[in-house]
Amino acid sequence: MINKVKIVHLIFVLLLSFCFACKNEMRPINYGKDNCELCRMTVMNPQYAAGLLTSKGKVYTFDAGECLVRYVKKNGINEMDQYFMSDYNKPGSLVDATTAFYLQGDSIQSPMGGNLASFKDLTSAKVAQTSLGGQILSWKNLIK
Amino acid sequence: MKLITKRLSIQFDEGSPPFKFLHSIMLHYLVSCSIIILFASFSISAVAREITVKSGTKINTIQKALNLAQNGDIIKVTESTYYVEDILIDKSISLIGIGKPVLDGQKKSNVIIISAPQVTINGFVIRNSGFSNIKDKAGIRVEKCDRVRILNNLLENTCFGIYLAKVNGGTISGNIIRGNNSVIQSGNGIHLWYSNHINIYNNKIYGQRDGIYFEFATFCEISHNLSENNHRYGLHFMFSNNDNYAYNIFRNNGSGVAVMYTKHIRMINNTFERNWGSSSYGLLLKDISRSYISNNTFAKNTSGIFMEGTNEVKVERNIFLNNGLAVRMLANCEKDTFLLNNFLGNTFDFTTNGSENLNYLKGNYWDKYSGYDLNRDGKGDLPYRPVSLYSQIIEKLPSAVFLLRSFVAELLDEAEKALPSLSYVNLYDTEPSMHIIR
Repeated sequence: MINKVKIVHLIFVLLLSFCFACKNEMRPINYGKDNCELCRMTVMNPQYAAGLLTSKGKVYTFDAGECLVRYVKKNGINEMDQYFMSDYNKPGSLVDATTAFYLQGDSIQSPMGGNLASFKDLTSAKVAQTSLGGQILSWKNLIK
Repeated sequence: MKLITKRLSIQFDEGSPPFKFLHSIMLHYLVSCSIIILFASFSISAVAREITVKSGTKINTIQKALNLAQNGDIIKVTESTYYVEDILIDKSISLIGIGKPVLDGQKKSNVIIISAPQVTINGFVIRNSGFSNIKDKAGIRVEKCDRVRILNNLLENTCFGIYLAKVNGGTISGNIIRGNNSVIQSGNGIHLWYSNHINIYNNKIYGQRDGIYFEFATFCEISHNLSENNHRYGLHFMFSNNDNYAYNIFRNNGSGVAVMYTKHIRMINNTFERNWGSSSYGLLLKDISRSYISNNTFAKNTSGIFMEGTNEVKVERNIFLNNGLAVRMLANCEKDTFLLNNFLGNTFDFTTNGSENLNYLKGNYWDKYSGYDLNRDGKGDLPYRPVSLYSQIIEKLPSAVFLLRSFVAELLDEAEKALPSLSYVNLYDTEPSMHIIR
């Protein structure tokens, strides 16, 4: 009897968690199909792409980190929205833009001329700096 | 030589005294000229040697020939397959393939790197460059040098085909570039970065990311190229001013051509066709000003021209044939002119997202125009409003596209004809042509 109740509870909790899971999640970027919300270019390069998930669950894609930055500067930052950047070292995977670190320098040819690459943490940005050069920035520096 | 000067001097000596001084100057000039020409011809014959690369002989690799060569030499490469990686051409030489020799990069790095001025590469098959995320690998990479000539090559399975960085002056002609059809890994067919005065003609580019890509490339001519089945754009301009492109065909690409963040571009006699897809365009104009679009054909595209932030652009004598939307012009476009264009068989002629529109249409032919011409001056008596009421409803409610070609949509069209004031977009052709413009 107790077991049955437990199982029902478990199922209930599982169902609930599914509900939460499908509510607000960044979908994977569809390279070659999605368009950049700001510059209208097709998103092609998994090393530089970026994304925005609004509090309502709408996904915007960007072909370059600098496009997301310009979009944020234009429309203002919303605390409820989630911002994503590509991990330069792991093309195709997205990291939280607010905690990521950035490298800006002439040797980085990002799609929209912003010379911007993003990394998941400070140490990987510093490692990349030794080979690529440029200066390290945080999200706050970028959207200033 | 002496004989010639003697003869000349005799001739000139016979002249009248006031002209003698002039004659002597002319004579001097002639003699010095002929000496220069003589020296020049000697020096050319002295320097331009030919080195032949042939398997079985002493010089059996291109690298050996390059080591022997001096500026101005010609290296002839006979038919064979050469396995190479990053061949560095740092002398002003001509590398000429006899019978299409193959340079195979073994998927490692670049195939050829050019870093000297006045280099010619003619008649090779170049294949299998490396693919890398960190550094762009190319079939032929040209860096910081002038007057390069890349002619009649076939590039297969290269990440970037021909990559020019900081090059002044050059010709890219007669090349065929075939990408490997991978969406994510492919690079651009012909890629220009901070380069100027490059002529690109008679090339064929298939299956790359962008067929031709310009970033900070100025004063270039692009003509008679075919760009087909590329993943993103047939031709792509970024921050590149003062370029011309004419007589090109852009077919079945992700989108046709994108001209972004530039000014002073001339687009003449091009064909943009079959760029189908949910968000495809024949021609995307984004933040561009003072440009000229003339005599082009836009056929079977989702949108013929998509304009955003486009100012002072003149669109003249083009044909818009069988497109989903012939022209989509967002409300932030100003002072653009559409003159003498033909709009034939498009589902929608014009769409826009605002009610105010500060652009100018005149003398175009619209096949949907059904007004009369009572005074027979060849112009319709009433202005034509190309933004239909139905398309304005779709703008507000995208799912209304479901009603396309239905009774309701036709009813709306008829209602609009009877009461033009129903439409609230103030964009109209003041003098629509009654005949197709030829």
